[in-house]
Amino acid sequence: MAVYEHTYRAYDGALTPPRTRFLIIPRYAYRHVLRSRFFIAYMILCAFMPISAATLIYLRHNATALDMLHLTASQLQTALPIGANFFRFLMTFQGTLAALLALFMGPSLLSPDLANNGLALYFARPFSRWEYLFGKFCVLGILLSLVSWVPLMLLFLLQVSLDGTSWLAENYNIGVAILLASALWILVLTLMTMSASVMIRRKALAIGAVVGYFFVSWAMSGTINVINRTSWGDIIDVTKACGRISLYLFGVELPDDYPIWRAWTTVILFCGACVWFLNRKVRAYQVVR
Amino acid sequence: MSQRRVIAVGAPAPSDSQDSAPPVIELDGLGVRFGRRQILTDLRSRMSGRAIGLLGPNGSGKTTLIHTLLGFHAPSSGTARIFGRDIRTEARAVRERIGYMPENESFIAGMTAVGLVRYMAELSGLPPRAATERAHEALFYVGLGEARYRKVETFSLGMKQLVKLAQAIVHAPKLLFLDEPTNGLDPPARQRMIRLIREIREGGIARIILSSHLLRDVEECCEEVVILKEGRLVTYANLEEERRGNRRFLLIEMRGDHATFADAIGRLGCEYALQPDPRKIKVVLPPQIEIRDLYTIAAEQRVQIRRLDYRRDSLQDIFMKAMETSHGGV
Repeated sequence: MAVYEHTYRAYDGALTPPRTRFLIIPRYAYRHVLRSRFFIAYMILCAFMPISAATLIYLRHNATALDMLHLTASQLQTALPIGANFFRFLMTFQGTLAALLALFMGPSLLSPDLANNGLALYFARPFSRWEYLFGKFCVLGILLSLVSWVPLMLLFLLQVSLDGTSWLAENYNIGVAILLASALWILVLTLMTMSASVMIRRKALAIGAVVGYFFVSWAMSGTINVINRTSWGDIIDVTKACGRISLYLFGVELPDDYPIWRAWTTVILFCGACVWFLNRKVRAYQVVR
Repeated sequence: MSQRRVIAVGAPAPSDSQDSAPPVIELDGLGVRFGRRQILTDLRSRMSGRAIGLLGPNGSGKTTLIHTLLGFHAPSSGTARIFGRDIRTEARAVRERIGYMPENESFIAGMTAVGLVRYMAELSGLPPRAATERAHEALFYVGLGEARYRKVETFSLGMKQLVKLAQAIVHAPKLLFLDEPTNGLDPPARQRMIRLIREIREGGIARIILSSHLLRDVEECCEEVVILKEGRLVTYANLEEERRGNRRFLLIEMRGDHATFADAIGRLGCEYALQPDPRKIKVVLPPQIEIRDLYTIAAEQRVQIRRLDYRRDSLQDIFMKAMETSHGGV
């Protein structure tokens, strides 16, 4: 239809399936994000460590390459064993990069819609608040996945393919730990930054609030622990809780004063609070009662 | 440059055959409460017109009613049906048939007009290609074709209103909610908006619910009117029928013996009232009397009619009558 005719007509074509409409949000968000050179540079930076790790794994299994470097496989294995600690270190490193990415992107996820009454445009359509929130969650969740569990799982699979199924049988828990711990960290980061985005419309202030939360929760939990000679203060530090769960999943023994159920409780309460807050605040119009 | 302006009717225009179809909106004891405040109380009505005006003073519940029909607020009692679908149980199906132009400034920062309208079309379920095509068409239709690649935040208020209209019609809804569409517009922009609304109405693509506190807007665009007062529905009127049944008023300015003229028209059956200005007289014209009869009497009485203001009972009169009703039902 030629637009010069200024024609407006009814639409009688097919509609997209409602179940996948939430994916429209990430698609549009990525169009915007991919224009940022800073973002592209950061994503390349995030690939540096996994590529280095992949090189190490490859070297460890390539006799010709080891000969050229005057190394033996056992020397390399002794110096840098590829096991739970290797992957845990990588996960911590990539998790930190993911946190920085969430800090950079998360606070501007929802605030532009809230600042200009954009939510009414979304919710006046056959598109629910939960679909909206899930769509926004996916924007950050997919990017954080690309930084965290996706490269780590590729490394894990590379190691399995080179070392064989016997290594997989002994270390399958590493794969499970990578997936679960990353998912948990992504969930916490995304919900935290989405909540900050709703609470504080200005990006810089929202970033400050998230950083402030990390710092304040760490400082407060430490203070409570020291003053009361307890470890219960850790219950307010969700970062520490995620770290503990990650250690547990990788098979590292935890100290008795910090049982794993307490870490899970912290994470569940934190996520629950964020979901409750988002449910209250993400509405087409706020009602003054 | 001459450009064709075509409203191709894709959906059937309303006709008598639609009388058997469910009404556009059916309010069935609808009530809305925010905390302790009762905002809407027991609204009952069946609205079937092509364009229905939603009138009421500020705080009467017009916007709350629209928001409730859109599913933004849950009813505290009763329900409503749009095209026969219950807003409580079939909210998604209801919203598939609705386009909404919000009262406030509403847009997504950083997006161009065409980007925003396309995004909204996709969220309404249109495939990307159709959404792109219709976004361009909708923007051309509302008159923003040349500015469609500009970011919405750089638009003037009038242009933002037009973008809101474009996003409301892009997916070809069957029912359009227009909440104060002429707010903040200058006279030419207001005229353009009114013309667009009338074109949509005449095209039969969508039924229209127009919420406004500007009686003139409603009078120019709507065939039926719903008047709300303090959260209650006090009047539901067909404007054409009201106009037909209402009296005609004349304000006559004349030169000559006005007392003799007044007596003469009184004998003719007209009610009249002398004004403080002795040259003016207000006349209520009965249905059987035509204006030319007054000129005949004036000629007989040697009175010059210098000016004659004629008006029918306007929406303002209907509105004022409704406002005098304290808690009326329909």
